[in-house]
Amino acid sequence: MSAARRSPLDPPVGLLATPLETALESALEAVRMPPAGAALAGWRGGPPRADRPGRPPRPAAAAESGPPRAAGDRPARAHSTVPPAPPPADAEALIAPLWRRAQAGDDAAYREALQAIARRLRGYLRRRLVGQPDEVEDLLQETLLALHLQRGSFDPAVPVTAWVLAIARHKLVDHWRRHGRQGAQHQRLDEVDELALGHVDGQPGEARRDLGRLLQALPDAQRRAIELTKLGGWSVAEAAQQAGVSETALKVQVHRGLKRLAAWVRGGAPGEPTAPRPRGAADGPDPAAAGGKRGGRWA
Amino acid sequence: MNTDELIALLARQAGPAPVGEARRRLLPVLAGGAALSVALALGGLGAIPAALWAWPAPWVKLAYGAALAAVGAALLLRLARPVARLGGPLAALAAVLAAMALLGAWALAAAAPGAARSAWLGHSALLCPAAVLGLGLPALAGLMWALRGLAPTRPAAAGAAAGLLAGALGALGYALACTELGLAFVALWYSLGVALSAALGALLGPRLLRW
Repeated sequence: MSAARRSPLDPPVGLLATPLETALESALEAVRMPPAGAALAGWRGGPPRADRPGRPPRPAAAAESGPPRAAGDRPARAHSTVPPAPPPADAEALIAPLWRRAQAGDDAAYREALQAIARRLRGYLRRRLVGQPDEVEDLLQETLLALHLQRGSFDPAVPVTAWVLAIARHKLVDHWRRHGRQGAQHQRLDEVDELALGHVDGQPGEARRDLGRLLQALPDAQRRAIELTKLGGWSVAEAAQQAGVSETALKVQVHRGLKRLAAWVRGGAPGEPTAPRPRGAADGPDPAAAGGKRGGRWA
Repeated sequence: MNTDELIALLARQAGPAPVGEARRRLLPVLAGGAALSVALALGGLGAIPAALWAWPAPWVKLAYGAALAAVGAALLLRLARPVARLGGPLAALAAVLAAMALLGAWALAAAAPGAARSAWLGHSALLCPAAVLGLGLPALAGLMWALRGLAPTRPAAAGAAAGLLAGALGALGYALACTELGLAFVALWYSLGVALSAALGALLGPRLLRW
């Protein structure tokens, strides 16, 4: 067993933002496998994740979602600190130089470019998922993941924004095909009974059993990725090496696995990952208004 | 996972973007598909007698198949990426089809008055499109598989381009086994086989090319 299992330089593998996912994460922390080397217990003890000052404690995270909002409101979520997006015309001018450097291998520029893209895509998706505010971040992350996986498909002759929008539109269409366009199919995270989640926190034995069961239901690669990074406490690089996959692949597996776990906790047993929700009849967005514009604009 | 952290995770040690992935995935499949089509045509249908190579028809078939394959590959390489600009390859496709149609019409006009019907029907009019389509199927399957690892955002168009390329490879293979000598026959029935293959690709695209 190597000495440093998670280097301080490693960014969090999966900080979770929503109350439900935070609960999931703490449940995972609670059942984390005991380290084989007892010497590690010392520095791995202490308050979980104390090395990440930026992370809001759980009550704050819960408070963030705030009171129920009207559908038209712009949800503040965790991103209220993000400065407002510059006008649309600037998007290409801002992102293109960053993106060029990112494609050449500049990680800092890549990060900045993804952040700028995320700010604008959030607005783009929000306007097209009017009845489903909770889907916006999900789809945004799906899109960012797709951008990352397909960054080799970027053609320097094409504007970055056009490339990004083509992928975002593809993901949006895919989302509609899977879920339909009605907004009220999904229970808002804000409305999930927090007491039911606290129950998971309070009884580690039960949590261990339930999570174990859920983990077993995950595809092998995802389960292993989560076990290594979340339960085993390995860094991404170490876990990737152990699993014999690339770091990118491991990141994707952790992301997908956590999403699936969250969906199961939210929606029911693994056997029925997409448990049917009461269908709202008429409160979805007008499909023509929401999806008909092919030449979408930035926020 | 919140979005900022996902971004941090993705950007960390991301390195330079991979270059030329579409080429790297598609070109070996293209080569394999062409080889399979030729092997199936020679092995399953039998090569044409050597004397036939003295006629223009086998060469025209080969050239037509190769030209369509080149255009199809150009279209496919572009449609494998999110923002595809198709003007050039589409113009080339129109030029190739027009050239073959002109050749066919010229051959038909030059045929003896009573022979027009046999000039365009030949003796294997129904076998030809089926053979072109069938010989291209392995290539179509391989190209669809390769496309699934790329980023086509217009699945029907990308599928059609894959079908066009696969059909062209089928035509290349079938040219080695087809004993028809009429150019009007080639213009009509080879084109129909390639068109069927493209249509099949367009149907399969939206079903198979999700990512």
